[in-house]
Amino acid sequence: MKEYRTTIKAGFEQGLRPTDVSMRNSGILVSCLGGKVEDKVLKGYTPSLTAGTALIQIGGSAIVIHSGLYPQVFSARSMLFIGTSYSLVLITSTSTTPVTGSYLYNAGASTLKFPWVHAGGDSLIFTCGDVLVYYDDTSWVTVT
Amino acid sequence: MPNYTMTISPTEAITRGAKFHISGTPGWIASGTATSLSAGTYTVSFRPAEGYTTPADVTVTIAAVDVSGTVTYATAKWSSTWDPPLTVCFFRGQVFTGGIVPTNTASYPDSARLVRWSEIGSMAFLGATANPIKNEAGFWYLPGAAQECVMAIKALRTCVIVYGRYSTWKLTPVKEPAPTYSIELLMPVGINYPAAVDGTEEEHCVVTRTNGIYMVSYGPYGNVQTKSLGFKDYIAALQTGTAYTTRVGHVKVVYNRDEDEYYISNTTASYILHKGSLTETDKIVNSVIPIAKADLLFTAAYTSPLAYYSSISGDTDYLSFTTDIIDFNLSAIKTIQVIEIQGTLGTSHFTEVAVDYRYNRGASFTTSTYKRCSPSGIVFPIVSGVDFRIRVRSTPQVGSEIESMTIGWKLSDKTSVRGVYNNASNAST
Repeated sequence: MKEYRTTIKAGFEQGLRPTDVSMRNSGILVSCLGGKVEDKVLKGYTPSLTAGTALIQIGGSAIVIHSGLYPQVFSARSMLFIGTSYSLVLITSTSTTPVTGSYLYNAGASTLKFPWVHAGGDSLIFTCGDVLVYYDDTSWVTVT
Repeated sequence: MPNYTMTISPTEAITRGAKFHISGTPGWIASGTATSLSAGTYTVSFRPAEGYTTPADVTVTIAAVDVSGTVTYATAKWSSTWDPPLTVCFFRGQVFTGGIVPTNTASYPDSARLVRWSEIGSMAFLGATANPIKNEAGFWYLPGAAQECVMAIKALRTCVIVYGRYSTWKLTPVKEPAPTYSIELLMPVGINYPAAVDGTEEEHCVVTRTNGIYMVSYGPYGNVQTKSLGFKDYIAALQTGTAYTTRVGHVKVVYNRDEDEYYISNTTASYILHKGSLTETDKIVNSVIPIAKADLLFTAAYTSPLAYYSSISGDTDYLSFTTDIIDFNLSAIKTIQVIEIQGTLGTSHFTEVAVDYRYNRGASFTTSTYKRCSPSGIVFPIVSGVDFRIRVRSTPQVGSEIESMTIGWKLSDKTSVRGVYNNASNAST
């Protein structure tokens, strides 16, 4: 019995199927975990990222780090900011572990509903829908 | 009768209309004006002045002698009567704000659709501290449905893109008839969540409410263009059951400048978008700071971007994938004899292949057992069916590179192939 040979490439050049209907016989992929398409080759890949500081202390207390949406990291000018589910923290010292910071906003126990947004660039303006935080020439201003 | 005098400062607030009023007397009174009052208790209230916070009322008691008071109008760069915005954007020295916290209610107040932009180099907004004569600050209401709300505002080279829930707009600075922004509809679709867009000033990656991934960027002729990448199946699964009260179905897009890739995730699944191709990852990335910036902030020398992320549990060191349906353009029953994986798989790699198969197109797929490939990437699954999907998994991830896959198959059932079957039958007789 004759053996036929069929070569498929599309999935390794494009990754997952872009359409919402089957692309029968295209060789496109419908699932692809742990890979990334580079130069038309599917390569084993996981994002190489340095995990942000696991623990931040303010006044001797560790601040709560939630998974999922928070925490968020922002940088502007020469400052680093951490947005958590209830606070915005200005990191004041990174020379020690854990790093230390001070609250620019602290909602206490209540949790925010939406992500922190940094205005971008070197601006010092943040919002999350519950509070607007900005630097006003001489001091930080918080508007709730 | 004794006199009451209130002195207001600063002078600029008086210029902008600051005055005071004494209960039981008619009209607003200018700063420093003495008013004759009979003995008693009065409430003094203050007239709003643009750009200043209106002072709280004060109570004064008048007896036998003159009484005076002073009040200072505080500068209000963001009016205390305004809701904090849902999003902010810095563009050419101006600050853009927009939106309010959306809810699951039927309609939002007008402030949800409001976009404000400040004076250049200041947080001064029209209706608060902006000088209207300078004509730099302004505002605009996003048109549209009762549930329309500004979700995100992001700069894109020479313009600002406003992402609403139902529409996306381009605001371009213009000089005439006065310094302001021209407004143009970019896409009749919007986003569900403020974090559903990220990118640079050259390109935005947007996950829309209609479950699409769009790239917003400048085209070759300097015009802003939108390009739909598709991937509706995967995004629809991420956005299933979107609810503002529970955060369910909220998709977050995060750009990694060092790798030029976007992470698109909710709280349970995550994808990598790189140069238009989508793959899945086990890392849910919340935010990324590029290596160069992290190096500036910390003494440590970074070799990868600084990020906060969480990992999805499971087999994390696998490259695994499944192909779309393959039937070799024949509806007859076939048998897959051999599968050859072309690419780079090191001798230390453990690569396995399984085949999903079914005997008619209305049936569900059954998955064969995984069989290990030879070091050269060859495996003999020997699976029959009408339709197939090939599953491959390889560990470790590092070093697994796949360029193509060749499937050797035979026609098991020739009854559906007219001519070929008969010819073979004839040949044997």
